[in-house]
Amino acid sequence: MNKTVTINRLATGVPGLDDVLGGGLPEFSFNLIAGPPGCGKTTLAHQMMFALATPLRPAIYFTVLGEPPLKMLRYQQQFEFFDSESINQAVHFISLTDDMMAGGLKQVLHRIVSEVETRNPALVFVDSFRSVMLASTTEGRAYLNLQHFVQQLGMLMTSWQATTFLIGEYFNEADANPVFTVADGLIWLRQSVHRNSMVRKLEVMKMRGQPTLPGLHTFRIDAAGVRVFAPARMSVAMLAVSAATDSNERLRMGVHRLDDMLGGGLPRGYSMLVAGPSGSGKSILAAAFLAEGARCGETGVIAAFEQVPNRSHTPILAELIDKGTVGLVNNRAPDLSIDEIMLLLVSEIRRLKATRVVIDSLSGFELALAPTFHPDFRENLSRMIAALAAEGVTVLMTSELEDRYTDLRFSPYGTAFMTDAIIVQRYIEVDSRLLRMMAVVKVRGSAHSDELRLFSINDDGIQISEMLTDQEGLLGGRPTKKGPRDAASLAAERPHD
Amino acid sequence: MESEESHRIVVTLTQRAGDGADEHQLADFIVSAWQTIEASLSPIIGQRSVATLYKRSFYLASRKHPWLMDVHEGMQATMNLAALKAALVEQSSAEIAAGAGDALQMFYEVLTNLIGAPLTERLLRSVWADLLPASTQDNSA
Repeated sequence: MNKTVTINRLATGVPGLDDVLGGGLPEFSFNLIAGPPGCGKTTLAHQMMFALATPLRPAIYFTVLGEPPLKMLRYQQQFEFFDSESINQAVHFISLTDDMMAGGLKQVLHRIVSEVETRNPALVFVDSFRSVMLASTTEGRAYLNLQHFVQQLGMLMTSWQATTFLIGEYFNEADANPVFTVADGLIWLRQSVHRNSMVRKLEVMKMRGQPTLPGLHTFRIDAAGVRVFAPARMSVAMLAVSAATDSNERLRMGVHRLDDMLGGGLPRGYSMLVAGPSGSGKSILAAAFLAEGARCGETGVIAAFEQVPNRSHTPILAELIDKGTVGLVNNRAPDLSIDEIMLLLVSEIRRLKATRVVIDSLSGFELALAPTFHPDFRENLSRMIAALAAEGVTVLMTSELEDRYTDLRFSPYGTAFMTDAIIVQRYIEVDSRLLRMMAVVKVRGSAHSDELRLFSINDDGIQISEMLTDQEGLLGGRPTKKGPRDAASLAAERPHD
Repeated sequence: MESEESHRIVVTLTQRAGDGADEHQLADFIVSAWQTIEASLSPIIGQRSVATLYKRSFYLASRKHPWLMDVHEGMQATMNLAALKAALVEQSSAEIAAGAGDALQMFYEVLTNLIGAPLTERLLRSVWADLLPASTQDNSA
């Protein structure tokens, strides 16, 4: 007999939470939901309750002193998950305020026991736990103390086969609260405030018996309730897909001569960075990339953080978005996280079976994120690029780069090493004109051109022309004319061109 | 904002008064109505909350029926139904039906204001089922 017990995992009904929990909530577990006031504990509890409770497996929601039940019902019913009809059938609200006032924790425990015996619930919630704690400190020794209360409750609920939640405030995570030891699961909600921006974060600090996703995960509360943005995970299946696309196939960029400069196009599955100063034509290059995909029967997704593609600026792209060939991700939420963008991108990619993805631009992306994510931007970006690669898509990212004529830079984030290919655009001054110049800096594992090419932008898009072989010092921004001898000797040095 | 249920309770009370029910019968009916309400709501929102809503309802109803003033005076942790009955039997049947009917209606409205009509209806469903016999419901429908 080597058969271990199978622990059922309950689907919480909170988008993203099951992933963070490591596959759902273990049945009959004894959990704490903790965090400061207003962080969404009660909402999270209600959402799970309405998702999980059925008339045969009902839920009991005990309220102890904390938020008056009338107010709780008033506010919670604003959420879409709140179902008035299930109250008194699948969901039972029970106020323990009177018991608490009359007989303290002992009577509260008695009442919980008798209600649980009567209704045989599958789920039990006790809200709020802080009031239980405060009451326990004011009570004398004659009464039950908090630790006993929690231990008895935990034991009782497990043997009554109920999944239990204690909802509490103000827990200090540093102090060794005995409650933490008793609990099987510990879900901590936080609010990260940075200047006038607030981002909600959730952490599963403990969940016995299952591999949770560690760290802080952003979540948002809207009319539908709590939504957790679990980080994109690379499953084995996804990696297999990306390996399958690891072919020698090259994608055309949709700009004449650029494919030649790249050594025959951009290898499928690569990520490319297009860096250049404002107005140099990065977005136009990105639009051409998507339009070329559409011409070849491929679909794409664009995350637009600067300007939303419109008829006057990028008419081809606007048309593709209207037609549904290109999906648009354009989120301006003030608490935006990379995980949320990633979630939106991946869902669009899967919906459209997209093969080309554009992020325009990284600079706009960083600005769009809530300030609390700025310090980790590079780490998160690297994770995002890896996750996109796992989806098997080819990515083009633009990056605003101020022209610096003393050095050659590709991106302000040190993102250059993360990408497989880099194109740099620059302005140069020739004959009192501001001209544009483009070069392929890197295509991983492939031969590519090392030419600095002039290009212009007209109604048909980017037109790449010749090298300025009679000028030198282009990267300095102010090239000078070479003598005829210099040009001839350059040609002699490079007979293969 | 007059709900069907709260209107029906007033109709039932008036009918009973019209049918010749005496003060004591009417008072008993009203007291049992509040008992049923308390039994349905206090497990969910707590006895004190119910008592507070009860007090508020009589305060609102006493604007039209000043004789109800006594019922809501003083802070009570529970409903004082003995005091209510004592105040009711002092009045005529018609006055009882009008005043107590108003108070019940106010209670329904205050609760609706706080937690919305669907939830109020859900929480008080058993109350109306107990109070309003099927025949009365058919008549008013």
